[in-house]
Amino acid sequence: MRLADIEWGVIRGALGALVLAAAIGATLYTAATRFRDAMQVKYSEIHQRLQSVTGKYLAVDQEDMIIREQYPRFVELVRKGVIGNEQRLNWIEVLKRTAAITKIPSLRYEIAAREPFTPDFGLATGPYQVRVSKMKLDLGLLHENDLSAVLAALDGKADGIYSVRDCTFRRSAERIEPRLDRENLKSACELLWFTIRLANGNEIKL
Amino acid sequence: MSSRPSSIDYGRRRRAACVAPEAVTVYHWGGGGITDTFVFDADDAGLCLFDRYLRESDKGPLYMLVDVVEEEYRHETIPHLYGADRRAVLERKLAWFFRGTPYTHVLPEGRETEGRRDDKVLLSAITNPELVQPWTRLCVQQKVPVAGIYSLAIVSTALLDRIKVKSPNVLMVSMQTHSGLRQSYFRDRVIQISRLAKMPRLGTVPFAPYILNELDKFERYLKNVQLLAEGPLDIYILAHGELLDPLERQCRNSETVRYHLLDVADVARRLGIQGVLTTPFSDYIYAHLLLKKRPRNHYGQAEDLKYYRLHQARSGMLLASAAILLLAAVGGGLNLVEALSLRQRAASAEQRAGIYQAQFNAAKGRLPETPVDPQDIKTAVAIADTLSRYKATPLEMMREVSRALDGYPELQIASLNWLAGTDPNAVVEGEPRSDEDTPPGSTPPGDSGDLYYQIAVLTGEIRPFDGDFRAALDRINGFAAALRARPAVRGVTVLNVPFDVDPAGELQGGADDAARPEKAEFTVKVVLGVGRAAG
Repeated sequence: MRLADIEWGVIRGALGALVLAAAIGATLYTAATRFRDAMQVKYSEIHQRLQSVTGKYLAVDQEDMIIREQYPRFVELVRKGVIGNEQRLNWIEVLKRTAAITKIPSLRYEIAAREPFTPDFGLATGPYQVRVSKMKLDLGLLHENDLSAVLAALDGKADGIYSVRDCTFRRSAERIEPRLDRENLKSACELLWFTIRLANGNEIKL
Repeated sequence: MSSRPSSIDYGRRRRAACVAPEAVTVYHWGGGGITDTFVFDADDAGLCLFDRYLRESDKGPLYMLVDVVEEEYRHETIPHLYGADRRAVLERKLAWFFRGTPYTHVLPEGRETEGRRDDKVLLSAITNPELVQPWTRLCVQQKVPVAGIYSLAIVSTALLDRIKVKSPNVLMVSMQTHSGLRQSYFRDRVIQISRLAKMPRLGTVPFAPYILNELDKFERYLKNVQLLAEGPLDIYILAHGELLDPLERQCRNSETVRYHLLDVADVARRLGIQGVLTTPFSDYIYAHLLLKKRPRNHYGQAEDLKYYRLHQARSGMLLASAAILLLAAVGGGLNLVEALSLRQRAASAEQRAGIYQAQFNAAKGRLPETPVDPQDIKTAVAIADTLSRYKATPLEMMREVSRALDGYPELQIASLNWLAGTDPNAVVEGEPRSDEDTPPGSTPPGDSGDLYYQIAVLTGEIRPFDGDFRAALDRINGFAAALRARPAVRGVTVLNVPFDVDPAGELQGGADDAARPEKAEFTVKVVLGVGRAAG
């Protein structure tokens, strides 16, 4: 049947009904779908909030335990400069004092600028960033026990955590002479001093 | 004879109009059967009444069943074609055989079994369109949807199944109120030819001899035109009541003819027609068959069926509208139910979140203030612990070397290069990098699961040295073995010895060499494992 042969009067009502039904149907369905989607989003948000607050509530006991068990150590780490700002002056004072007491023939130090530390072992840092300051020590030693004394002094009196990365020892004379000012050994060591800071740069204040 | 459409049920129904030369009978269909009957004479008064009927009745579809003498049949064969070619061939044939009438029909009858296997077709036509057109014209004027114009003879094919006809040669005989005696011959259930004979008014003459006389004429005609197939001919006669008795007496079966007399009332019951038919006429049965089966149009032209097409489009649109609304209601309803359920769950979750938040605030208030979250306190302490675990000094290495040297006072260490790291194969300053410098028998360290490693390269000499290389080698190897025996030592490699016993190296000298070397230098690499990795 050609378009020109169609008597629109016969089908006008049905055509109108079809258009109306399509409009009503589309509106009804779209409105219901949007309402459902909005409710879905709202429910998801509230459910997420509920899970978050439930988790936090359940974690309170654990937090209490952490504070009781770990907070004193945390405070100590802050005070010793492991967490927060490094204590360069303290390190140097300890080195000088040890050199004087132990009568180390010669001791030179050099501390580089602090930089982020990239460990070659697994280290979960969470919200923190670990930084490292490299300290080079050139020592003239009477014997190897002088190095033990220096490291023992740093362990006991210096604020911070360090690790010796590498060391070289050279015998500087053919014969070892037991004179106090005699440099029988030369040693060069690199120490890494670690500090822990919040990655966002905020200061930790006790 | 006309009946006025005074009590028409205007409900929306199908209806059939049986068009005969003398009158048109309209049957209304409803509830699975015929409900009302209206008769309009084939004259001006009847046409006026039909026009009024169409005007005042509901515009339900009308199926026109034509039963007139002026209907012709021709069996033809055409080439086996498709589409436009087939249509063109058929149109040419129809125009040739049935000139001047638009009411033509083609009934496929299969294909020939031999030759080029042409298509067999039965061409039929109402040769006097004037018998039909006045009625169809009124229908079009009143915008009544004519669903089709049908041949009663072809429609009667459907009756064969209902009365369970099995034989291949069948002559179906029935009487219609306003047309007469219809005799249709079927071969293998396909109509071959049909003939309508006029009948005198019921009761004016004995019908039985009249019918048998007409049958005799038709049978002779079939034989003359060689349409009758071999084998006995089964003649089925539809009649009723007083007419059946004389027919039973006068119908004599023979080898070539077998009579089957059927009561119209019985046939009507088999078709599921409600009520009891009390006339010998079969119009009612054919109208019922047509309205129930609603076959494809036979003779109707596009102009006749125009309003039916529009009616179909209208019905389709209304159906589509209802379907759309239903689907939207179901889909929207399901979404709405889901949305309401989600809203209820959201409200419940919000209430619980509020309760937990209050409880959390109260519990949190009891905890002391800390500069960072407790979890972050734990992390910071864990970082410090890990860094402490990995803390290294050369003192362990120096102790291990000193203890190994205890039994070897002539071995003097001149230098020691040391480093700490997680790679046991790391290269230390002063260590040869090439594999060929590694003497055989050395034990390169593997990954022994230690937390980290301390690696040292020792350089020294044997003093005093008396020139006995064998003794020097023994002492150096002894020192290496002493180192290996230490529990923390993971690998010892003698990198350099005073006398190169490696077959890959070059060696020069003479038996009379008087000069004694003053030094016997050696280099040893030691790998120390520190701590055990967790897990």
